[in-house]
Order: sequence, then C-alpha cells, then structure tokens
Amino acid sequence: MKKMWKRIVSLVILANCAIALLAGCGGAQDASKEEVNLMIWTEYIPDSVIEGFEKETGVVVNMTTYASPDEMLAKLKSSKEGTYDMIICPENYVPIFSGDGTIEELDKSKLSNMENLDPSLLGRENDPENTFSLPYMFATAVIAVDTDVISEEIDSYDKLLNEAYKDQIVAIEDSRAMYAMAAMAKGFDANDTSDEALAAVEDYWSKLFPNIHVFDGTSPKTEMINGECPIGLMYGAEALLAQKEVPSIKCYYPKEGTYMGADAMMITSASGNKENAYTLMNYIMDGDVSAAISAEFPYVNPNLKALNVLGSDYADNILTNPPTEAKENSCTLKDIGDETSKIVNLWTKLKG
Amino acid sequence: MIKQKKKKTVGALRNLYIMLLILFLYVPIAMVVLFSFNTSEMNIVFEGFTLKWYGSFYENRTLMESLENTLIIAVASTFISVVIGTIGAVGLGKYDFFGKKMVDALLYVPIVIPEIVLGVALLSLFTLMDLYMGLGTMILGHVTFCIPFVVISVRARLAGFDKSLEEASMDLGGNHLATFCNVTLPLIMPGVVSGAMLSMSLSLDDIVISFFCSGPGSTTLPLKILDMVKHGVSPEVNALSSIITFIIIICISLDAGAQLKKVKLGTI
Amino acid sequence: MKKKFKSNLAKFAMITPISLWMYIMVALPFLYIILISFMHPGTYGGVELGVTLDNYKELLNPLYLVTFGRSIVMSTAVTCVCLLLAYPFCYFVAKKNDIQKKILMSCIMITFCVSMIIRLFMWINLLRSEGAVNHFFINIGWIQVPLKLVYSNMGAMIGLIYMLLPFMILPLFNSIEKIDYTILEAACDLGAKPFQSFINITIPLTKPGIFAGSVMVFIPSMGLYFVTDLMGGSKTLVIGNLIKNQFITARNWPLGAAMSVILMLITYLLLKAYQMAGGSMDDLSGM
Repeated sequence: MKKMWKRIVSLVILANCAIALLAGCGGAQDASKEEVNLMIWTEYIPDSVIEGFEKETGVVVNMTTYASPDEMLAKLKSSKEGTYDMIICPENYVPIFSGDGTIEELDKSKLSNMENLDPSLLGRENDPENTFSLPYMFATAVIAVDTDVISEEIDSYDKLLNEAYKDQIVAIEDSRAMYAMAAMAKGFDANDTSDEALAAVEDYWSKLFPNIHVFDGTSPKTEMINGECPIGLMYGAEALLAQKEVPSIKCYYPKEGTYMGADAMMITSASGNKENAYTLMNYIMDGDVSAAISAEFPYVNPNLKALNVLGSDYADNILTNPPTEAKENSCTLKDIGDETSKIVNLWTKLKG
Repeated sequence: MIKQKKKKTVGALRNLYIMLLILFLYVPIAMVVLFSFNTSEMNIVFEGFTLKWYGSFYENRTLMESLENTLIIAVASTFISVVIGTIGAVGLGKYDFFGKKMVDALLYVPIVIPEIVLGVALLSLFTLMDLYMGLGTMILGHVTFCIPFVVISVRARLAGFDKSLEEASMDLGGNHLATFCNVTLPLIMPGVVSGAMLSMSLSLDDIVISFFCSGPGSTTLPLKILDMVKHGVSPEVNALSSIITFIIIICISLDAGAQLKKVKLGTI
Repeated sequence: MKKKFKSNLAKFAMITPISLWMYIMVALPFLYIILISFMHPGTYGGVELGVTLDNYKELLNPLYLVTFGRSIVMSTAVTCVCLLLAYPFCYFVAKKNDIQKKILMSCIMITFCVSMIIRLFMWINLLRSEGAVNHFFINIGWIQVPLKLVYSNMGAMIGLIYMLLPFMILPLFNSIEKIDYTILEAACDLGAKPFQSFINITIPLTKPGIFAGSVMVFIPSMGLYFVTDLMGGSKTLVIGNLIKNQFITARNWPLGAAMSVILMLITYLLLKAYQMAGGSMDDLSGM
C-alpha cells in the first residue's frame, strides 16, 4: 500500500516537473509554430477576421490590446524589443517609432493590396511618403446624446460643461484625444502645448471632469446602452453601435472642431516574424476583409474596395462618412516629442 | 417560558444574520450561474434561457488559450513553490545561518504588501534584466507570492513535530535525504498539502501580479475576463466560471466526505 | 568528517533555494524600486540615471496629497464596515457545533473559487441605474431617481468591502473560536450583564483577531486598483490607482516608484503598530 502511494506521488511530481519544464520552455516563443504578435486597440479587429486569417494562412495571431495609446506605449516600452511584430496605433506615433528605430521601412512589394486604399487619404502629415506606415482606419470623436433623457442639442464642447450634466457623461480614456478636443474647445490648436494652451485645457478639464461619470476607452457604448450615461464623448464607431441598440441616440460633430485621427499599421524592426506580419497587413487591406472589419467596428474606412462592398449604408451615415465641413474643421495629432509628458502629466493629475 | 421564547427568537435572528451575510457573498455567484444561461450575448440584461454557451465556450480560442495559460502557470507555480517552500520551512526550522532573520522577514513581505507594489517591483526588475515577458516571468512572479504561504502552512505543522523522531531515524543509520523523505515529509504532509492548495487557489485567480508580469500570448483567464468586462462579458465566460466552480465544489465535498468518513471510523 | 560534510550539504540544500529566491525575487526588486524613485523618468518610459528628489517633491502637490488622504479615508471606512459586518457573523458561527462551523466556513472559502472579476462584473450589473437593486428600491418607494451606485465612490467601496470581507472573517473567526467560555460564565456568575461582559471581556479577548483582520483588509484596500477601476468608473480613488497610472499611463516610473515607496512605508508603519499592540505575524495569514 505504502509503495503504491509512493509511486503515485512520484508520478504526480514527475508529471508536474514535465509541465513546469514545458511551461518554462513555452515561455519563449515556440520556434515550430508560425505566429505573429499584434498590438492593437481593443474593439478594433473582429475575432472572425483573425480566425479567417489563421485558417487561410495557418499563422497564429497573438493579439495584445490596449484601451488608450498611453497603455500601448507602456506595454511596448516595458517589453523586450521584438516582442510585438505589428503595431496598429495612432499615426502620431509613427515619427516617434521611426525616429528611435522601433519600426522599419515598409517593403511595399509585399503589400499588393495597398492599391485598394484611397490615395487622397495616404501621405498624411506624420508619414508623407508612407515610408513606415499605412492607414488602418480613421476614428472620429463625436458627442452622442440620448434624446429620450436629454432635450438639449449638445453640438459643442462648451455645452458639455453645463452643470446640469453632472455625472452624466461617459468619456474615452485617450489623453491626447481629450487634450485635442479641450484645446479646440478653447480655440487653441490640438497640438499646442504652450503655457497658455495648457492653462486653458486645465480650466476646461476641471469643469468637464465633474460631469464625467465613467472613463471608458474600451467600450464607451456599454454605458450608453445600459442607461448609465445619457451623454457620451466617444469614437464615432462606438456611437454608431450604441445607436443601433438605442435608436434615440443622436450624434453631433462639435462646432469648435472635430478630433479625427488615423490609426497606422507598422512593422517593428526587431520583429521575429516579419513575413507573417506582412502577410497579415496585406490580408487586412483586402477589400472583403476590410469590409468585414468595418461591418463589426464601423470606423471611417480608407479602403475603396471595401467601401464598394459596404455600399450606401456606409456612404450615407454621417458617422462612417463624415460631412465635408467636419473633415475640414478637424485636427490631426502630431508628434510633439518631449511636450507629450506635459499633456500626460496634466491628464494624470486631473483625472485623479 | 418567556425566556425560552426569547432564546428562540434570538437564535432565529442569529441564523438570519448568518444567512444574510452568506447571501451577500453569494448573490453575484448565483448571478454568474444564472447569466450563463442568458440568450443575450452582450450579457447586460437577462433576456432568455439557453444552454448553448455550455456547448460553445470551448470553441472560443482566446478564452481557451487563457484558460490553458492559467492552468499551466498555476500547476507550475504550485509545484515549484511547494518544493522550495517545504524544504525551506524545514531548513529554517532546523538550522541557524547568517541572514536567517532577513529571510524570515522577507517571507512576510509578499503576504502583507499590497500586490501592486510587488507587481511593479517585479516588472521593473524584469525590464532591467531584459527578460522576455511571457509564461516564464508569470511563473516567477506567482512563485514569489506563493512560497510564503507554503512556508507558513508547513511551519504550522512543524510546530507539533517531534524532533526526536528525526534523530532516531539518523541514529538508525538513515542519511539526511532518507530521513527527510521517510520521516519528516509524511509527518508534515497535511501542511504541505494545504500550502499547495492555497498556492493553487491564489495563483488561479491572481490579477495584479499577473497584469504586470504578462506579455503577448501569456494572458491568464482573470486578465482575459478583465479585458472583456468593459464591453460585456459573454455568457461563455459565465459558463466556464460556473463549470470551474462546480468542479471545485465537488472536490471540496468529496474531500469533506472523506474526512467525515475518517471521523466516523475513528481513524483520524 | 564525512558526516560533517554531508550534514553541511543537507543544510545547504535546504536553506539555499528559499534564501536565494527571497533575496533575488523580493529584496532585489524592492531595492530597485527604491533606487528608481530617486531617478529621472525617460521620455517614453523607463528611467534615466541621476539622483533627484524631484519625485518626492512632486508628491507634495496637493492633488496627490488629496488622493492619498481620500484613499486612506476610504480604506478606513472599508475596514470599519468589514469589521462591523464580520464580527457578529463570526460570533454567531463560533457558537455552532463543529460540523455546522465547518460547512459555514467552507461557504466562505468557496467564494474564492469564482473569479474575482466576474463576481465584480455581476455587482456592476446589479447596482447600475437600471439594475435590480435600484429597481427594487424604486418599487418599494424608498427612492424616486435611481442612485448612481456604480462607477462612483460608493460602488468602489461596495466592491472593496465585498472582496475583502472574507479576509476579515478568517482571522476574526480564528480568534473568536478560541474564547474560553468559562471566563464569560464566571463573569455572569459575578453579576455582569451580557452587554457588560461583551464589552469588557469578549472584545478585548478577540483583540488579536480584530487587529489581524483589520490589517488584512486595510493594506490590500489601498492597492486593489482593479476594483476601483471597474466599480469606480476608472477614476482614481486609491493609491493603487495612482501607482498603476504612473506606470502604465504616464509612464513615469520614478514617480510611480516614489508612490510605491510611500505605500510601503504606510504598510510598514501599520505593521509596526500592529506588532506593538501585541499582534503576531502568523495571525495575518489566517492560518
């Protein structure tokens, strides 16, 4: 009896040893498995698209998500170089990452589907020749109002400061986007970090934040759908999805200026899976795939072929196809180098 | 008579209080099970009754991956911390050495310190050493906070341990290894087992340390759920959690039943 | 000679793994954090060498002090509520017979089996404006407008109390169970009323449990940032949030490290007070 017990215990210990060893080895990337490590916003690429890619190519996608660009940067910088193969993040990071060598020049010969993209949307300020990046989707920030609860038409940032709206707003967590909107509300440029601009933004934020009930960078639509917040300052796609569930929601592009930014796709220089990253990037730019992405997450799509597939639904909705005046009155986020810390510090201080 | 009635009402009130408190703790758990049958995928309002999630949750690839990671990390961490902790506890109890007080003090640190401090400390260290953040670093982190619990658990058992038994074994010709395996270990086994179980449960549901020690592809179940919570936890997660809870309750009941049997047979 | 060598080898084999692990994985990271708190932050994260007291000076900013203060107030409130809820529970359960005691305490332990996050998510569901709790209170007429129970200070407190209640119950129960009832009987015989003996005998006898439980609730409550993140609407309510923000959002590791050092100091002071009041460290693990 005792011997059998000993045997069982030793077997269990051995089994555990084996698992522990495997786990230890599994900590490093498995050489035999084809994979690609993607860093992307939450709620930005559907599981169905990932699965489709994996089925078609046999390459496994490890997705790491973030709810705000600050989180993305933190995760990127605190991990070893080359941990992530492909990054999809706001375009103002392209100069930063190209400057410090995190990303490499794109080999356009491997990206045949590039021709699907709208040429007028290429060559943006942060990467004029698209040397390092290609646009993924464009995000706008709108003010969404549940007209069943709020009777006023909130079409400007200024109106959000109304004290009657205390604890009524759900806002995104992106410090640069929120700064841009506050700066525009006060008549400054979205990228202005002069002392006057900072003071003005601090003034605006200190009046706005008491009205914000929840900060949610992942899924601000949830709080509007479950009735927790009747007002939202959120991405256009989120507002559209909220509208689908709660038809009484109406959306406005703020008069003072719209936050509109592109998210760019980049490939890291230290990546260990470059070929797979290129395959994935090219896959995303395929017309049908891009249409599938927008069907689930309706952001502004730069892919002409996809727009054909999506049809009039997309072209007619102001949230997926912003009107010209909104586009003209919009800002682009630029890399402001060291000044970024001023924005982040102000944000962290005022948020709590 | 009145006194008896008073005693009864007091007794009933006491039981009511106990029940209310347990209810308070269990209401969310009941809801987890209830919502696992929800037809609505967004899982915010309960809409209808269905069993489909119990059939489909294992097809959710990322969910299964995180479950796999969680189990691997839990088993590996438990094993390593039990080995190091048990040997360490016995060693600390037996010997005196330079720096013993320091080690003793350090052992209590992971228990009492807020996890976030340990988490950021480990993250800083791993970054300094330029380690690849993944399952390996997770296991390192988990073992760090599990070892102290194993040590305390084994120590509690060692307290009633008769040292003369070890000496007798040595006198009879056994070397240190044989003494440890045949005499010490069986006697402290209950302490080792409870330390192992404690490690396992701490590791399975750990959030803070895991958050700071994780990398791509090494998400654990709690972290995955944390990710999902903001945009509605799909009922698949509820189904998975309900099943895990059910399995654990069965294990505990079996163990309790076995213990009860021992008591009845008088063999304890 | 051989025996001495073997004996030393055994000793070495037993104490080395644990000592090494504690030194490398506990002492070293903490020393490093203390070091970092005196350095400059890099622009995009990480640290730049150079000794400075700027980080600690920054902490004297009223905004941070206010958050620290609020956090400590909240932790105190959570601890008190947990104590008030847990004490009667433990007291009543301690009077039951062995089997009932085991069942009831197992009930408490089983709550750990369900993932913390999903339990909190269910609370959000219950407490939100259109959730069951608000519906109930509106139906019975206690309130007219739904209370903003979640995504607020209240929500964070409820979350913390829910999570930490078992940590108060376990040490407290251990302590209450050990009460020698003959002392209470003696007091009764000497003419003390139940209430008097409760205040003068029971509570002082269970002091170790009260202290241990309070410590086990107070300290984690300062650091459980995900509870306040989820239930408090991502607003910064406890020190843990501040630290996490600095490491993740602001990428100012030195400032985050400085905050961690302060948190470590608060913990240390609390533990010293606990030990001076006669508490033993072993009680804290609830064993």
